[in-house]
Amino acid sequence: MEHAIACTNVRKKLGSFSLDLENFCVQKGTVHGLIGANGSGKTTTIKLLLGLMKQDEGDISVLSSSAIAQDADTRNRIGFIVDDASVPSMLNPKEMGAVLSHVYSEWDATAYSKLLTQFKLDQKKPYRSCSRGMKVKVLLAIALSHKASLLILDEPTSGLDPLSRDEILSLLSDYSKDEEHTIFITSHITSDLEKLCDYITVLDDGKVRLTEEKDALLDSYRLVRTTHSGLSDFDPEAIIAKREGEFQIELLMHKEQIPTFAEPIRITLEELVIMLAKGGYRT
Amino acid sequence: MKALLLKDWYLLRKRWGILFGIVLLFSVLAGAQATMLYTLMSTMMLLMISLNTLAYDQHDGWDAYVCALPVSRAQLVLSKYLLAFLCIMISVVLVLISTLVLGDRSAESLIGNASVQISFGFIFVACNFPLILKFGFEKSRVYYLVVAGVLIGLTSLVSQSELASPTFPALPFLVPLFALLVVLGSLRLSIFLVKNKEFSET
Repeated sequence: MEHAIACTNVRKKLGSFSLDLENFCVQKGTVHGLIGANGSGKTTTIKLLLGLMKQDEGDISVLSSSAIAQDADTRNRIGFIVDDASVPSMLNPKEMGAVLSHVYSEWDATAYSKLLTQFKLDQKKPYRSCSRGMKVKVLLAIALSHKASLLILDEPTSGLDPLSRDEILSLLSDYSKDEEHTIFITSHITSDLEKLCDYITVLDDGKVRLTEEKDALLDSYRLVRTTHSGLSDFDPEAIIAKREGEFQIELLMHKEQIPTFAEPIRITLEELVIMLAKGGYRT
Repeated sequence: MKALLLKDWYLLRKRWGILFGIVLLFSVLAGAQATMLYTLMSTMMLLMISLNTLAYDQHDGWDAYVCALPVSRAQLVLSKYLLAFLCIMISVVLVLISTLVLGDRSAESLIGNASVQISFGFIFVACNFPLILKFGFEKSRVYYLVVAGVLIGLTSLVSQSELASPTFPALPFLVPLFALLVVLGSLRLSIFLVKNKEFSET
């Protein structure tokens, strides 16, 4: 399958922190989620992909362009939201639309206006007077109004109320239905990624710990609950991670390794990521 | 380029009221009193308007955002220099009108004023823009104030010295030409710096 994003042996050092993306790919036509704690390297990854930072080593290819910082034609096909990069705070959405119509070759003023109306945004309200949710919606409206084939979104749902999050997720879901469209999205909110993504990558301390198809990932693991005294009935080798509570212990296990006496519980993405982190990302 | 200038226009028309009033005041004083200090202050205040757009860009994170848009970084730098050039030209026109209405209407005086304003403006831009684009407006604040003070002082001194006397008739044309070469060098340096700029934080 063709890659929308491919990182090979990429390394970026920022002080004592080092981001290493040895072999990381996003397949074209998929929604790929990047999960990681604060400081794990998510925003650095996004900035490298958009050419806002330069890798010290390795190769990055975005929509087949290996020099995105110099390639305005490729950037024309990318919609994005990046942490600490934004539109001028004094301009309103209408003025931003007028400016960007001279930037993007395929700017669709009708689609932009329709999205602003759908988001119930005042076209004449300065960006700085907008709430966090409104600001994200303005940036998303921009990202979706120039026929982009790749969306690179850094935490688009963080800080939003559940209704706004749902609205944004359904919009992204509609966008992803086109097989030519790819979304690469980072988030703390794993439930959002669970709803939206086809593939999940877990980033921890600058390293890719896990990349897998979401359904396969969720299907291969199960939670098992037992008591402290019942723990000895399980094969220690089969326990990937465990979380100890006052009265019971939760075990993360491969589905096929669960003994018949135990009851497997389907796991959420959030629980899985937490348990894998506890187990030192042993899979 | 059009988009970047349009963005700056939207920004300035919301913010330039008071500053433009001060520019007009200095321009009127420059024409009425024929003092080089007022002439230079008129240019300086207009250049502050273009510097302000850089400050707003960096404060809002637009400087990073725009680099991910399909706009080349060279165009981005060029648009800032072009805006500064427009500001210098507006100050020249304002002082010219003021001098024609209120002051000395001799060709010598008019050319002299324009020459000083253009030279001052170009050198000011040439000295400040690369640093502001590289290190940001806040970090360069002290530096550009020092540059402004030194340039205003030097220009006032030179304009009152023998060098500015009619024995050097080519001076009003040679100095702006020299300043133009300096600003072109500065433009190249700024493009190089911005092309290699990384946005690890804004």
